[in-house]
Amino acid sequence: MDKPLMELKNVDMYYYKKSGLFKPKIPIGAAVGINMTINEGEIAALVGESGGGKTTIGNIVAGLLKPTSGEVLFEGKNIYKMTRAEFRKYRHSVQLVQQDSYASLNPVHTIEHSLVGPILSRKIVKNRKEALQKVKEALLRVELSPPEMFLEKYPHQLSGGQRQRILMARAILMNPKLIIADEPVSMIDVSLRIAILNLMSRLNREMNIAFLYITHDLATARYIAQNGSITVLYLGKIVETGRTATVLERPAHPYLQALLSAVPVPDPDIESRKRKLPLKSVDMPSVAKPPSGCRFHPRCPYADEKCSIEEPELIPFNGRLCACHHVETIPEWSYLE
Amino acid sequence: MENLVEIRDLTIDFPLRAGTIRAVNHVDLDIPKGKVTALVGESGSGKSTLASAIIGLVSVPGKIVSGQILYKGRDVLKMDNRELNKYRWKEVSMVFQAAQNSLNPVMTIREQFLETARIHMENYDESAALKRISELLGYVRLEANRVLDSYPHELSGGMKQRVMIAFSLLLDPQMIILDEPTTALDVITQDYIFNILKRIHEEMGITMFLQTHDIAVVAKVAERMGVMYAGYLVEIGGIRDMFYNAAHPYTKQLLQAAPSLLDELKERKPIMGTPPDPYNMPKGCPFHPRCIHAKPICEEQIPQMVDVAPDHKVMCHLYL
Ligand SMILES: Nc1ncnc2c1ncn2[C@@H]1O[C@H](COP(=O)(O)OP(=O)(O)OP(=O)(O)O)[C@@H](O)[C@H]1O
Ligand SMILES: Nc1ncnc2c1ncn2[C@@H]1O[C@H](COP(=O)(O)OP(=O)(O)OP(=O)(O)O)[C@@H](O)[C@H]1O
Ligand SMILES: [Mg+2]
Ligand SMILES: [Mg+2]
Repeated sequence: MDKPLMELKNVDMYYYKKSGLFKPKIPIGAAVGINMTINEGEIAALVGESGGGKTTIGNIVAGLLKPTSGEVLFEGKNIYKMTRAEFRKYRHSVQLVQQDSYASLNPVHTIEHSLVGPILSRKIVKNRKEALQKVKEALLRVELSPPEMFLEKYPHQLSGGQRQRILMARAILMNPKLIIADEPVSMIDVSLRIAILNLMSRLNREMNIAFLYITHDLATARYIAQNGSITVLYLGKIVETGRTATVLERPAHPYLQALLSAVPVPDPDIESRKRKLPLKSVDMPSVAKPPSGCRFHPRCPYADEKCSIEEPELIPFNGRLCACHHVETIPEWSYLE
Repeated sequence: MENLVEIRDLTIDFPLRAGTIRAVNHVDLDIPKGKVTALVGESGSGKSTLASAIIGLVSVPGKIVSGQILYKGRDVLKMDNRELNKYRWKEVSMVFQAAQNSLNPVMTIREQFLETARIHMENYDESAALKRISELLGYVRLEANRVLDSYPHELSGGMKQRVMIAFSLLLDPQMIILDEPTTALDVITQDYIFNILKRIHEEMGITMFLQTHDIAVVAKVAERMGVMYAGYLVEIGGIRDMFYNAAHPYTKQLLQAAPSLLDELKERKPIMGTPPDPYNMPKGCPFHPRCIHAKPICEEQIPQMVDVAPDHKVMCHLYL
């Protein structure tokens, strides 16, 4: 049975941006009306455009960012109403691998220092020797071998891909139930990318770790979350969500259709023949002044007047939820004409 | 075909406690003027090290052991600081692999832009500079007003990456080096930015040198592609030659491993074997332990670069 591990209920996140000394602050709705469930042992993918609110949601799930309103539940408990001990347990159980691997490793510490420190201080291991042993195992797990070679290095001495794997190793060391992986493979080359995705699947199968896989890359989202779920964000709102296989087999929302059409193919001849994106305008509207009605309407080739006035709700359609007034009549999508 | 940059016999070492890493190994590479040249290869193959050297940067404790980098015939490696300052940004600008690294966390984007403009622009005029900056931010699909007033932590990963792309265009350089410029960007934004860069490239004849591990992006934008493996440039040629008549066994495998939405990622074959240990490079051809065509000579001798077709070179014993 699916057992909810993390739930977001009607979560809103507004950042307030000063627009000048005496001017009022502008609210930026980075995440609005988010409902989302991650089940135990599930792989959930969160996809969407740059600036769409993915990292914001990831940080809310990780407990690093307190939403403006709404509830964040871990194993059914509101994390902001937990006892200290409960909160500590939650923070250990939910690990975040951040998008920016430069910023998340201390540049003046060696890898050994960065990995051994946290498991010692959180008493996950008894002593230094045991810690070192565990760290070496974790490095081997993420295929950084021989581990000794990486222990003495500083972050700037590693390539982008190597740093990303260090972060994955650091997360595994905490014995988490959920790893939020924010663009974990975008810096990694293709063959290692598949290796890391396979590693995540293996950790998921063998250790029953759930993953929230945040990405803008639909090909990898489809690969890793093939038996899980996918949620598509647009300007801070969910436009489509459901089982990955169902959603990607027949994408319903015009935004998701455009996103799929934009995925480049590794073939120069196909690329040079490809049609233009099914978008009226490529310009991304301002999150500070989101369009009225459906947030996607200024770019949507199917939009009519209703779309500019009335905001669509997420409603069931073909086995998933989709927020579009015209979902019934939008033509079925295909990659090539 | 006129070359804007000619790299000759470039070798860069990183002496470390555990041994010396040769990140770039006797590389010869031409970057033709007005073209988009892409460099691909797996993590650690030396793409960033090579690219940064073109603007005269080698990260500590790197050492240039041999070679020349000729920009319009002048050796960048012999320039003094004053010359380098004039050359960077104005002649050649670079978008680094991690944009966040180059943005100052305690300054707003506006302050950072203006600082660079003040130092590098001739006849600096603040309002003109701001106008130009706003225009460039618009090019990369950012709201100029909000972004200019933001600190880096108030921007998403992809927004910072786009700020850096806008930044690199500020002084109308002859060439831009883009090191993994779109790794943080979704495909629609990617598509848009590459169309803009292509337009800039066509209208202003700007030369582009792109480092990426995303073969699909290369198929989309590049006119020439070079492949690096373990610090060596192992193959280079025109884009169609490289994709449809790849010569090097490594290039062939790299193309087969590229994920595509058109088929199942499951069917993609990761490249056999493991990347070489940088401290213990194999003797002979660096790829031979992973190569299905390896012959005895491959274990002994490093192959020479040879022409397999006009403007298509490969470093492999199969063609010698
Ligand atoms: N601390 C902050 N203060 C103000 N605005 C912020 C802050 N953090 C994020 N934002 C804004 O919230 C919006 C969503 O940002 P977020 O980082 O969640 O996007 P994302 O989907 O992760 O994008 P990317 O794919 O580029 O990483 C953006 O418009 C961003 O500028
Ligand atoms: N400052 C440094 N100190 C020590 N070693 C370094 C340094 N910079 C790079 N290296 C090493 O040089 C090799 C090449 O690194 P480089 O960053 O150029 O690779 P890359 O091809 O750009 O990889 P990626 O695709 O992961 O960005 C790697 O083995 C790396 O660990
Ligand atoms: Mg993000
Ligand atoms: Mg690099």
